[in-house]
Amino acid sequence: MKLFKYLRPGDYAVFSAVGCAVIFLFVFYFGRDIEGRIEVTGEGYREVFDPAVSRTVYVEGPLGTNKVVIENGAAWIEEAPCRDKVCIKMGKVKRIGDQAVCLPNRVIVEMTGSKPDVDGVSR
Amino acid sequence: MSNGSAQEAGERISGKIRSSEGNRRIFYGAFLAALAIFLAIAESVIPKPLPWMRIGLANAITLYAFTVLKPREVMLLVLSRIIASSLMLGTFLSFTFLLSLTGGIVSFFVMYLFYVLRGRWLGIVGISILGAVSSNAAQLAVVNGLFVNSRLSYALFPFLFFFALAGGTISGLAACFLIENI
Repeated sequence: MKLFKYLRPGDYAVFSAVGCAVIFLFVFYFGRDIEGRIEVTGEGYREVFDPAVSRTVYVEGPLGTNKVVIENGAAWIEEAPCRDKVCIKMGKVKRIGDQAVCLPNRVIVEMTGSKPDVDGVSR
Repeated sequence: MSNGSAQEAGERISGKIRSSEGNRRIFYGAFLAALAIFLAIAESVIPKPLPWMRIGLANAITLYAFTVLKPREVMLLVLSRIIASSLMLGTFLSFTFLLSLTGGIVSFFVMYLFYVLRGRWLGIVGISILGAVSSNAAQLAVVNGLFVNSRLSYALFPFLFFFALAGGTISGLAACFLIENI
């Protein structure tokens, strides 16, 4: 390519600098593992958990206690004192933005974080 | 002044533009603007999911203009190219227009700065890449500032820089070709 004689060292420098920035940004935004955090909110209670650490959380609310299980990077409500048990059926909170909510008992379990992902998933 | 090779053989028109004055100079400026507008419109045919996924060929004209016109005139070139092409494409005063405008103005200043400071180490292609990157980054900043959707905006960063790199290189090489052969 005879256009190569027009290229100066600075051109190569700028190109590689921006190229590195591109690669870095791609890796940074799309190469990360589970780095969201589970946030459990109750009435007057809020705590943040690491999804990688398995544990069980009991959240008190006006109706009773929700049992929130955190395991393997996901979280879900296992037991709930509400009538319809919608929160249990909401399933696992895995991706950032996922939520499981027990409205009657005022309990919210969600995955928060800043990794860019789809804004919402209709089910 | 140009990007490195012999100045006598190919610079007929460039020389004429540099030494022109008054109405003739206005004519040359308008002619370059028309070229840039043509390129901008021709480029608009290419499908762009998002505003800055473009090659920015009109910037090749802008870069060439830095070598033959005064900076003030180059700014005028950029502004008239953006306004005229948005008028012709039906996007005048739309959101796209504002984005193009901010991208164009910011990239003008960045390219002018680096053109002045370039010395022997930086060539036209590097300046073009920097201009493209700053244009896209400025546009993303505007979008981010006006419609706060930070999650999605930040996700676009890698693509933004990639398209800026590709488009900047291509239009930079085109500009080199112009500078050497006109």
